[in-house]
Amino acid sequence: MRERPGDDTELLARLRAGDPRAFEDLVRSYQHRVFGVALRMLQSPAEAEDIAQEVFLRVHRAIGTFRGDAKLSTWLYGIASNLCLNRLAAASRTRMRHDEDALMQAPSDAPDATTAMERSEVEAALRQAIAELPDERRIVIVLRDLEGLSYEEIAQALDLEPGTVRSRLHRGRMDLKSKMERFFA
Amino acid sequence: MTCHEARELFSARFDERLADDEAARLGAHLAGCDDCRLEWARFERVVSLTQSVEPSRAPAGFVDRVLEAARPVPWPLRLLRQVFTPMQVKLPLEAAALLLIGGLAVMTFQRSPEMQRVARQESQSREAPTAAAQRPDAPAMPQTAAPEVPSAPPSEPTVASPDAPRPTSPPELRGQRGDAPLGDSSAPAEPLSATPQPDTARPTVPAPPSAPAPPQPASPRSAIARSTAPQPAPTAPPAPARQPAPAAQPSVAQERPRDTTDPARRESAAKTATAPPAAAPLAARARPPGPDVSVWLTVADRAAALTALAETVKRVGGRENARRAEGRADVVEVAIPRDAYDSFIREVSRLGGFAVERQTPELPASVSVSLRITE
Repeated sequence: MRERPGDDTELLARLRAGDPRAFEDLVRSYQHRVFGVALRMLQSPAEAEDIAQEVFLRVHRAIGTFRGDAKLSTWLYGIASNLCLNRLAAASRTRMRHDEDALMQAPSDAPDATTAMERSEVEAALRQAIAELPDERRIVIVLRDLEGLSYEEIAQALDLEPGTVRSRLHRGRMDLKSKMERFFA
Repeated sequence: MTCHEARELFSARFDERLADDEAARLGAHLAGCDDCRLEWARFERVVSLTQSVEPSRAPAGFVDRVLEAARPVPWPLRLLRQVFTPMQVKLPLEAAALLLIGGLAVMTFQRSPEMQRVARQESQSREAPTAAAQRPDAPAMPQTAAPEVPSAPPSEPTVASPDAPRPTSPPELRGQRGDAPLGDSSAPAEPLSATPQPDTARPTVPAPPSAPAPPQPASPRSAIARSTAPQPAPTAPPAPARQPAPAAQPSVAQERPRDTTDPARRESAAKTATAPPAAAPLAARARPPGPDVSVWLTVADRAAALTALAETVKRVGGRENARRAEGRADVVEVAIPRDAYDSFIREVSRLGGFAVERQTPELPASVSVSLRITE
């Protein structure tokens, strides 16, 4: 799980004040998180970069309308999640979802792809299992177990009830356990 | 607590979101249930493994690309992008649209005679004032004389021989100029009403610059055709053999033999000319269809022209056989004695823009003339 994003109050104030360096700081701070969510959801580095770029451009355009009801990070995750789910809903994207090659290229395109953990069989099986989850369960797993968001933040980002988040998270985890049974024999 | 109820609480237990009493009840169940304890162990391992997955990292240069994309784009470039990108899609579509629109426009123009007529009239209306302004007082020389001047001897008539080549200008232009040769037999496609005629009895369109030949002795009909400076009417009819017939158009070549090889018609016309007035309409009806001479006349005041025409017909000893309206033109059919034909034509040419569109090579004793009069 990633480090939790720190306090964005100062960054948000700079963004609202029109500080030209603030947007660059925002992108540098959140690029890996936003890209990670997109990559886990879409399984394609190219598509993930496309979505991540779109997330930041939307933030850049709409920062003036951000009311601050949620954390800046939650807002970013929400935009990224919705863009990914919309992309997955497209028919073309559905056809590509089970493309094994695309799935296996995902870690190799990442800078850390050569780590031992990434190459392990269990890791690959787990990535495969995550990729095979239904979209609405996968996004909750990604946000909770990979990105470390709280139930409430996930509910806020996805505009869901906390009970729905809890249910989808549990179902997703149970699915993963079932898919990984062979490694526990 | 059942095993099912216990396993439903695994996620909450892992995330430490169970209330104390729930946590206690679940703990008690796990302590007494080997299956659930094993399931919990596997569950905990999978979730822990998931949370330990190495986080992904954005590719190198991602920040720069985002900053570049977020930079404001100048509006001309934005417009170009909106119009042309993605180029491989939009350019072919735009090219196809242009071709389609162009093709439709051409097809519509070609299939619409009204549009062609309007285009012709607009071009004529632009040309006519220009020509009139350039040489308002120049003598009206027959334009068709220009190509004949170099090849014809000076003593020969320059225009209006029965075998002279047909002019290539459209009938509307000839009607405006009033200088068409008498040998022209092409029928105009449209009336002249759409081409306003200056209120003058003499055509003012000058000869083209390439035909500076001075007025030459001409046949009677050529003199009539040139409405300015009318020549004295000779008594002898023009000799068709005097004028070479270079490149006569097929339609003319086909039409003239039909007229000349129709002795019955000429005979009938001769009878009409000598018949008493009461028998004239019957004789006229006995003729083959089509007058001996067809004349276009464009006038400023049609009523006055009709009156003057009636007087002229009466003065030369002819008679009016019929009068009818065709579209925006009045068509007057008259019969003129051959001897008075030249003077009649000369008088008529002074009424306005004048063009002979058709004339038989050999006139009968009573020449039937059809005058189409427009304003």
